[in-house]
Amino acid sequence: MKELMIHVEKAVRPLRITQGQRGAIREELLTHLQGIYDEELERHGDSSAAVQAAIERFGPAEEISRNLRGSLPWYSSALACVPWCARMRTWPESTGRIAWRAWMTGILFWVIVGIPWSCVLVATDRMSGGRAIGLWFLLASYSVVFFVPFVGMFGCIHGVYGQLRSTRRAVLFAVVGCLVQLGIYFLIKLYVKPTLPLGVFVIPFLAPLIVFATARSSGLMKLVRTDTQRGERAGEWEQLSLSGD
Amino acid sequence: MLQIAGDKLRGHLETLVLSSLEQGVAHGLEIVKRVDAAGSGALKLKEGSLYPALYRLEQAGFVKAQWEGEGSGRRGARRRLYRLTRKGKRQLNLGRQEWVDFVTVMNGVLGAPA
Repeated sequence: MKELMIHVEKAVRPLRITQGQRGAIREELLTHLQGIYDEELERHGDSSAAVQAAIERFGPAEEISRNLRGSLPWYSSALACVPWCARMRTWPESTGRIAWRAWMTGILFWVIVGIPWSCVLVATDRMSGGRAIGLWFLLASYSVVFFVPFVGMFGCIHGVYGQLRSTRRAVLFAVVGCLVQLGIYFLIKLYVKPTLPLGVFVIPFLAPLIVFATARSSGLMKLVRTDTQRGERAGEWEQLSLSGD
Repeated sequence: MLQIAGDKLRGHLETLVLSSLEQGVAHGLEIVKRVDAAGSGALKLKEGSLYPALYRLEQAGFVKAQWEGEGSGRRGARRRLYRLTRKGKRQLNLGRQEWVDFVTVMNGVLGAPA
């Protein structure tokens, strides 16, 4: 029922909240409005009269929106300001965008943890400033190399972000991920740290197996399915035009 | 019949909701119906205004909300069910006492019979 969705969206769209909260409020308000509509349809026997009566009973969207703004916790709007929290949906996007977000989270982690840690190392003369910065960039870049193949592999196993499931593509992501990582470890052993233990070379082979096992676990499969459906529903809501009823 | 709506209900909505939840777990539409039935149809509540009040109550810990489970056997969209917490029961008693005090004072001011 598009008119009812528009009425709800007028109340919810102006709110500065995370995508997850937005979806929950939309769902709750729409369920209520549909309940009123069903009652009114039984009374009037006419759909458009029932819609009007339901909207009248529910109250003006602007007023509900204003009241909702005052009733939500302060951290909702704070979280909505963080770009990758504003859209909390994890999977129904491209591999590149998910990897970008993962990388940004890695950068944030290194800003919070890595920089103070590097400062401590430099201050206690355990590492030079240039080396600390180099290490910082190396780890931040490595997180992309590590994430992209495995996020891509996960997506191909589930067929998320609008792709069809593709075993061939999942294997391709795994193989390319393995080779790139092996290459990096090889270069590190050759030029940076010759004492790098050989056990490190097992990580690129273990990681795809762990991703495969995780991706096939039933709890996670359900989570991805729910998340994908939620993303599709959010897309429907965002496409609604609120300029005219 | 006298109709009580808008501003006259403001400030009492939270207590009305807590009172309706004293009867048991309910979703938004059911809460409105309970309030309406208890007020013999005299309370004219804009139903959408219920949700900001519910979210405030939830934040304060006076009610707990939970999405209706898949095993509820109900078809159609999910509903969010609210239940009164122990803290909410205490708040309801406080709200009732405040209301009695308010009415007593107003009766005294207006010279209305108690």
